[in-house]
Amino acid sequence: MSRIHGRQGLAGWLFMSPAIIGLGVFMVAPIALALWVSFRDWSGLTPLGASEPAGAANYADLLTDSSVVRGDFAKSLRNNLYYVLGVVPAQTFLAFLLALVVNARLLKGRTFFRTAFYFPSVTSSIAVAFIFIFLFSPTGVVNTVLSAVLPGKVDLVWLDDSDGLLHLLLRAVGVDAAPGALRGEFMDLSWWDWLSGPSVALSSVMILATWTTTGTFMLMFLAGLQNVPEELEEAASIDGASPRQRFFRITLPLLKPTLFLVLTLGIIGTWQVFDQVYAMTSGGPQKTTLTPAYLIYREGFQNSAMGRAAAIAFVVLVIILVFTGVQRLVLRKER
Amino acid sequence: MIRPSRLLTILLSTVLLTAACGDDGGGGTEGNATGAKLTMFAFSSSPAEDAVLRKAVDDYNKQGRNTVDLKVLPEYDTALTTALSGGEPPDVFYVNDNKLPDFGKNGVLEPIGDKVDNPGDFYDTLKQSFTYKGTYYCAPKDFSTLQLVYNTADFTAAGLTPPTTWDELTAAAKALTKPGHPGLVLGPEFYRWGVFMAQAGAWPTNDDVTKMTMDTAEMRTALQYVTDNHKAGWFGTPAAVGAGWGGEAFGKALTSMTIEGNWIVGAMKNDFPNTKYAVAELPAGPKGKGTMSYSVCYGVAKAAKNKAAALDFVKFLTSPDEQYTVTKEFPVMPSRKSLADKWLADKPELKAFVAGGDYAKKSVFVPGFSTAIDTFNDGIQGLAKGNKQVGDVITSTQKAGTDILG
Repeated sequence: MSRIHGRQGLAGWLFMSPAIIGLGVFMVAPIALALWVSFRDWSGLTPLGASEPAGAANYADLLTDSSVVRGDFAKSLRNNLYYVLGVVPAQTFLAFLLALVVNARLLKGRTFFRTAFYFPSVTSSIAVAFIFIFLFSPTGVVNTVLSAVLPGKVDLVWLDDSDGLLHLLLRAVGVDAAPGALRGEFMDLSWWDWLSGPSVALSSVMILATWTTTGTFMLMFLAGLQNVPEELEEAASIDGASPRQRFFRITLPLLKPTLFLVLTLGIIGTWQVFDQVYAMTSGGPQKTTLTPAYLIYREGFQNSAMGRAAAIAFVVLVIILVFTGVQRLVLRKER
Repeated sequence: MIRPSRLLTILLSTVLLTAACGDDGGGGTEGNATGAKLTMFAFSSSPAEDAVLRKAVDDYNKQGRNTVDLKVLPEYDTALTTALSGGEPPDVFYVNDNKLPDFGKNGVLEPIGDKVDNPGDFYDTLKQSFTYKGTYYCAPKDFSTLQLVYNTADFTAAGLTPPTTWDELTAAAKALTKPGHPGLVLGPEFYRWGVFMAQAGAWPTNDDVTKMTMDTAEMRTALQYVTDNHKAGWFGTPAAVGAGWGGEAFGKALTSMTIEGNWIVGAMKNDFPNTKYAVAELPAGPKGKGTMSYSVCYGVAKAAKNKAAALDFVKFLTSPDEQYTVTKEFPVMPSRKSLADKWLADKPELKAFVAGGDYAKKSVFVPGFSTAIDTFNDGIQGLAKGNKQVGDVITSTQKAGTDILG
């Protein structure tokens, strides 16, 4: 008996070995090495073996030692936080709405709309970014349309405007500088600057991100909607449920697993935003579109501080884990 | 956007490559001066430049001493970093002057600056750009300086001649300003505004780059001058007129003057062939003329297997004849002083750029200093936009630089 089991075990390992080797070489080993690099003083310009151990210095640079590096990291966290808070709800809500529309049985040309809404997601993000640069230019379509709709001429320089939306709002009600309570600093960035809100430039990037990802999530919601059994809805109708009740009592609860998936993927994706920033703003103006992912690139390849770049990657990993954890807890509680 | 961060992938593959082939500590060998196979990494901004470089390599290969395999790479920094960290660097490669301090500090380069023929012929400012802690690492390939580029038709219409002082520059910019069309457009960054600092006798650091010198009356004068002109609307940023850089704003006639380097000549020729323009030396400030230089050198890797052969190849590339051939068709200038007149013979209109070679400041600092420059740029953007004060920018840059210089 045991010999047969033993052989079966061996066969099992053999069948799994391609996957295990693949995961090991392309996932586990690089991640372990990157973790090791984050504790080294390595420029990336000489072989890794020639680097010096740095202890936790790379992490200290980012989190505890007061310096311009920590200030930049704080700015990138602030920017990305506003980015996540703006993009994730917007893309989730829009995707759900579009899925409902496309799923409606009465809609004519459903295939056309489905393709149209999904199109931005399959287009190269760099190409889309360049098109948005034109749209948001001072003489671009956005300003032209706004000028036509709003009184007066709109000549906003979208991608070069570093004013935070919350600061602008406060300025509109007469608060132009930090009140005394916000004079203090956290991680080399004043509380007043932490509360700036996303800059106009970052908001443009957020609009672009929402536009490109909504299609993908729409597809996921659509799949979820089509999995809702028709019998359930029919049964509810026969029991006298109104369309509103059917939506809130049947459709929405059944879509919870999809919602969980969309939110999780959304949070992970938005904490890693890089290509749009790289193509559109390079972290400017006044560092208001700097994100941790862009900072990794800047520190690793332009500043020759590969160890610090790896440390940023792991701090971001922790942040993503925390965010997903919190979101799991919230969704579970409601269940 | 739902894709695993491509960056992380690049970072991880760099690390993985290192693990795979990073056995060599980077010793390298002298090897023979002939009979070697060499690899060269380069970048190029146009197919024409690409072709000229390929021809130079072919010419060398025909001489039969060594064989060079040229690789022209997009995303150059990333590719070079990967090769260096893998311990298998190319024998010869382009080095941007702003990367030199990092390379010097990490012992990436073999010091060959003085080993090329007639090393005294190169401009001194360029030699300084490629010197780190007293070691002159590599001979400059060519260089560019920043000067004043102006629209000749606009100048004639306004009855102006090229300004020679700050006051004249302000007056000219004012006269050329129309709604949505500032008289002068320049990028809001240290690598443009720095010319005014040089003209005012100010600079972010002392000459040895050991101490920050932001908090001086001269620096205040320089920053205040440019800021005031922005405030008045006579100077503008490229973004504010909807352009990506000064040259684009200038070519699209969104301004009448810009401050750019030799590269603008190629852009004007390709993209805006109908705009008539001329180049003048930048006006002198309180402390005289001033500009900045940018350069690229031919580096030889310390870990190269055939350093003698690599040096032979660099000697060929930096020889007067070859350097003239490579720069002849291009706006970038030969880095040898002795070639200036010959190069100018068929393009006298670019004389101002060459003149800058005599008084330009190098735009190179120390490893890790780009963080301080980023902070300075952050401040300069604020000054151009009008939401920051000169004093605050000086304080924050002084602090950022002191963090790095100690």
